[in-house]
Amino acid sequence: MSEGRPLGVYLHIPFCLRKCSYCDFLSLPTPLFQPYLSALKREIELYQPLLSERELVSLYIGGGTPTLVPPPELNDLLRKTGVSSSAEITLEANPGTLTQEMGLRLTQTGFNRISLGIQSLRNWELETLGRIHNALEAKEAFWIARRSGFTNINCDLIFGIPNQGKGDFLLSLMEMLDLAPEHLSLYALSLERGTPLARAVASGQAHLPNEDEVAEMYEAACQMLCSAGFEHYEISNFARPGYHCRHNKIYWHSGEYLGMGLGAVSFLDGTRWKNTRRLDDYCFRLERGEFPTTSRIGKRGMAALREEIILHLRTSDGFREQDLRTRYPRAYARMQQCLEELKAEGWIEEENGRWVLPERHFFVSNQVFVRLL
Amino acid sequence: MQERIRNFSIIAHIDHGKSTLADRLLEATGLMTERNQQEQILDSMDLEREKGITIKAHPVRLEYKARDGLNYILNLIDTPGHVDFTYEVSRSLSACDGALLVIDATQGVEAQTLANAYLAIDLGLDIVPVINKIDLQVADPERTRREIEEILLLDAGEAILASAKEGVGVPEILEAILHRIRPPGGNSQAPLRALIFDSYYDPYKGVIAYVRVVDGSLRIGQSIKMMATGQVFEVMEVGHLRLGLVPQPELNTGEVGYLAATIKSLSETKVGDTITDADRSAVTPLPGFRHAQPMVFCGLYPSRNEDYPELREALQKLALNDASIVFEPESSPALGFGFRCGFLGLLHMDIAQQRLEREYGQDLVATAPSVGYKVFLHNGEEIEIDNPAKFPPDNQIDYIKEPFVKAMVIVPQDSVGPMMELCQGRRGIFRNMEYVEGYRVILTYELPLAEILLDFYDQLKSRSRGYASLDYEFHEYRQSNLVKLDILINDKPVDALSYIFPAEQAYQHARKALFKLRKAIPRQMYEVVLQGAIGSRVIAREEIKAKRKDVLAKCYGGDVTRKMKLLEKQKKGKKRMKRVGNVEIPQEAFFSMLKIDSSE
Repeated sequence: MSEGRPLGVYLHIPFCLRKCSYCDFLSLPTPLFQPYLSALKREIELYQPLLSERELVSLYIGGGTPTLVPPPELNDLLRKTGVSSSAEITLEANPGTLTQEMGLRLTQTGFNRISLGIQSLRNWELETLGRIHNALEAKEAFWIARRSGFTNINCDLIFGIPNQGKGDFLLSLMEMLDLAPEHLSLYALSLERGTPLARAVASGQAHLPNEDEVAEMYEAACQMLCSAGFEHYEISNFARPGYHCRHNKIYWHSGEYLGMGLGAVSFLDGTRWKNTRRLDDYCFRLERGEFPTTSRIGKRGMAALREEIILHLRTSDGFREQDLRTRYPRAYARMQQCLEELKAEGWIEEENGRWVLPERHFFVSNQVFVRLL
Repeated sequence: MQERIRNFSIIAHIDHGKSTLADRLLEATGLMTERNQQEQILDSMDLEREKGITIKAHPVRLEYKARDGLNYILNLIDTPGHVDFTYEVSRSLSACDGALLVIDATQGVEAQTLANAYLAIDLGLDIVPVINKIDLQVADPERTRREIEEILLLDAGEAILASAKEGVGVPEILEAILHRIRPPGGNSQAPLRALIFDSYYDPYKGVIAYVRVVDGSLRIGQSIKMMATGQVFEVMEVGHLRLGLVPQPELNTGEVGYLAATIKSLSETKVGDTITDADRSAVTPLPGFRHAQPMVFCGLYPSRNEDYPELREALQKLALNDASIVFEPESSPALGFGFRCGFLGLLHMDIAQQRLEREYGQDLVATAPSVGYKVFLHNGEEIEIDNPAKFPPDNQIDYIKEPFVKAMVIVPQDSVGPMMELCQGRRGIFRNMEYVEGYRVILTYELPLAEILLDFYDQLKSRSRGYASLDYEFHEYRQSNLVKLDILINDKPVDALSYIFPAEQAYQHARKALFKLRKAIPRQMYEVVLQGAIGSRVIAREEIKAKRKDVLAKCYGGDVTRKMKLLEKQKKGKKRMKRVGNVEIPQEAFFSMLKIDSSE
């Protein structure tokens, strides 16, 4: 392990047993594991020079459904990146796929954090979402993770599901708290074009709760989690003290990360780039020893500053004026007036040079962000 | 030579098949094949089609070999088919000696059939009725024939049965143009008199005027004088209008064609003016025709204040090609600097706005259209007001006059009740009711023009299941009891939302208008309070709660770029909004006043 600059690493596993009704992420139904995993390993090898000169602070394997990958293969991936046990090493898991045997293998392999896509603890909501597990299976998955030795567990919950009332959601949340996870991510359901759920809503088969109802769910959840001792450290994320997700914080605090796998995105040296989203293209290019990269976007000046401000303001830490001023002296001067205006109107707050978006405005953050554009 | 010329128009109600028939005539006389070979010309025609107004707005010269073996020149002068442009129909007709009156055999005589036929009859044109769409199952040519006789008082015995779509009756129509429309009169030896019946601006040649030579002839190099303005020009180019401009050495008596004389602005060539020879001037000008007065006014403002100079330039360019648009600068405390613009009607206004946005790339906010009022003050002064925001305080006003139109509605008998209810509810004054052919009725009402702007047309169509047709023309200014409704947003009056309503309906209208306004303004960062007030009295109130959810859920590394794009898109959505205080008002909101059905 070298003492280089910190780096986060993301590996994408784009396979699912079945696509959920609300999902527009890159996931494929056919588990063409072997060729894909070989290609992914090759990609990791291509980045070896970079990986060896950086300090890997986090490794995150997401999907899709990474738990479809056999543990020995996951072990291989981990070893290839050279990640050390001091890093945060997370695996995303679909509760419907996690067995006790597998859980134990995962902790043995070196995973020290697991993120469970529980989404809801009401069976009919899980059906609406097209999940492959029911509420009991979801809880079982949690216990399996705990028994396997995971001391840092995240659970994803979705709210604003069709026909969901505030009470339904809070019930899921309370049962969730009984399980005592270290971290919770709460996402307002967003309808993505072309998904079965979007079609069901458009045709009137599913009825979405309105803006006020969804806002009330969020506000009630914030309160409940605050009294349960969670810190609301990002718009959608809550954690017990000391359990903030290091990997995601890299994204929000404009840290550098390397994404590998189909459609994965990287951000290094001020440049974002993206891998191809086509499986055959991905495998083919890696077979020939080429990087599977497609678009590259380098942002400078105002554009880069705006993006940083917006990402930082998503977190309760906000940003330190001095940091951004130093890195973007001219752009920051131009941005100043807009920030001062928003401050005068009470949308953002500033104390001792630290700017934050107060929690009460988290749920209308776009209204603030749009004004920064 | 004059014997071999015919100048004619095609007039019809919308969708009765005028354009299709025009196409058939072009084909039958060989112009369509020519068109196919000249793709560039076709493109310029497409562009015109894109612009929305009628396609062959310019005249076309057809060459026709008749059954008698002789060659004839047929000048087809097209007319637009919408009530806004009745005036343009009349100026096209002024250049003609006859007209084909096309009537859909499935629909019968409609309001614009009647209005256009009357225009033609008043101008003394020879009229050839054509009963179109006889190929359709539901066509009833016999009933249509009876309607022509009964409503239009024309001899329908010789009406031609046709299907422009199938090409049926086209040869008969061509022959009828020769035999039933008289050749142009006029004296080829007399001093030049040519009528300008349309014009447009060409960036290279200056103003291109469409003319009908009534007496004498028009040659290149000739020195000509505009009889109304007295201005003198030298003719640079004259020619025929085929699919494009075809230069010729001269235009003779009876001919229709174009003229270019390095004329810089449309105001120097008044449409309707008579051109004569500067050295050998005619004594009396041709009758010409009434000038179109703008009837509908609205404020056009750039979405971003700094784009004002750009908007001015775009309007100037637009007015070069459309002399019926008037505009002058105005400023509004709420909207900043913009222009008050006058149009012939709502459609004309829509077209102009669309062109400004699409052709000139303007990002506009338009205020609700208003009519022009005559306001009489206690001090004896009379002022004309085309912007409700500019109304003087109530205590200075003695009385107000508003424009009334004479409206003609043709409806099936079973819709007469709802139609009369509609007109009555719109402060209409009943004038006449006439039964035609035992199942349709012609209703004549005098209506305030302002009521026609208030969603009248849609109501008319919905209450007659689409069967009613409407035509109207300006009638007179008439005294009405009107008040100005002011709209306050968060306690600040927004002048651009002020609207004039009849006093007795002000309360209901204010409530409806605010309701529509609430629907049109999206929830935003702050709560918004809307109030409707007459003078200092608040008569209606609505609230728009602050936005509570506007958030990007997952925002992980992978999709930062995508999420930033979503934010950019959201920002773009705000472009067509106008920021008044800290409230973003979308374009639709300015039209809320028009969305109320005042007869409800």
